[in-house]
Amino acid sequence: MKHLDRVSIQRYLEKDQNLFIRLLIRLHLLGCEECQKRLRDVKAELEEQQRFFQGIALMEQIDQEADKHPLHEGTGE
Amino acid sequence: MKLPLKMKTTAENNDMGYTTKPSIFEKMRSGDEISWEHFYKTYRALVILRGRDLGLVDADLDELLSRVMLKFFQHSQTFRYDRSKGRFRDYFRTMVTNTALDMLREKEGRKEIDIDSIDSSNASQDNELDNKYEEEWRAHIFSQALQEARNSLPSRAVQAFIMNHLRNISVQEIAAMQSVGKSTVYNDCNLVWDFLTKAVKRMSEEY
Repeated sequence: MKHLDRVSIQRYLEKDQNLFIRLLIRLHLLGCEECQKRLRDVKAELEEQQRFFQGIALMEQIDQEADKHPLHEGTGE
Repeated sequence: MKLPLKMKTTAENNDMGYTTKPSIFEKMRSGDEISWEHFYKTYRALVILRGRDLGLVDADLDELLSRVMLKFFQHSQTFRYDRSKGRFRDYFRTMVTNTALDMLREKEGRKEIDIDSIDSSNASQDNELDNKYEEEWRAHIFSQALQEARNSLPSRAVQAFIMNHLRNISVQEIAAMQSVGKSTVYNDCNLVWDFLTKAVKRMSEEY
């Protein structure tokens, strides 16, 4: 089996392949250090993405609040 | 409530040696309203978050935003872009923090706190607030990077990325919606992510 590319690893982590393909990937991963490293890299990337999405969600929430409810409304000032 | 010390950095000098996108400040200096609106929308969320962190209630945040914008307007004539003198994020933090602290002091009818009166609990609180600010700044950078991706990359790729990662729509559904294969969706998302990581790195260094 040739080395796994980034998309194959992502799909493996997302369980987005049929069972047979996943089994082949697992077997390959057992014996291939290069792909094990690639798997670790993709996992680290996913963690980084998680932080990114939390940050975006925070900013979107604040912006939506400010757009929907102008802050000066109801302050009596 | 015991207020933290007013932040003191060289950022309070009129000759401000901080950097952000130079083009926006040039336009702001010339009184360009679109640039002011862009600046307002870009930094509004950061000001709100910082104000909340420092203890201002929602009813005060409008005033905080107004005061911060006014200060930028007043100082915009003297901005000098010299990255070696400091980061824009630090300058921005100082300005927003001092403005918020002024407001809190006004509310509590307190005089400015002397530097010697600060105690260790306040120092610890400052540290916590600084860490929180760094997180908020990072979120701000992420948001800006995504905006840049929207303007620079094919809309299909950005849509796929947003649907998948921010709206939790499955790759399969996105592929069906966009009439492409699942691998294309993954590749599109990777394209956007690679762009974002580079943009975030660049912005983190620039600001």
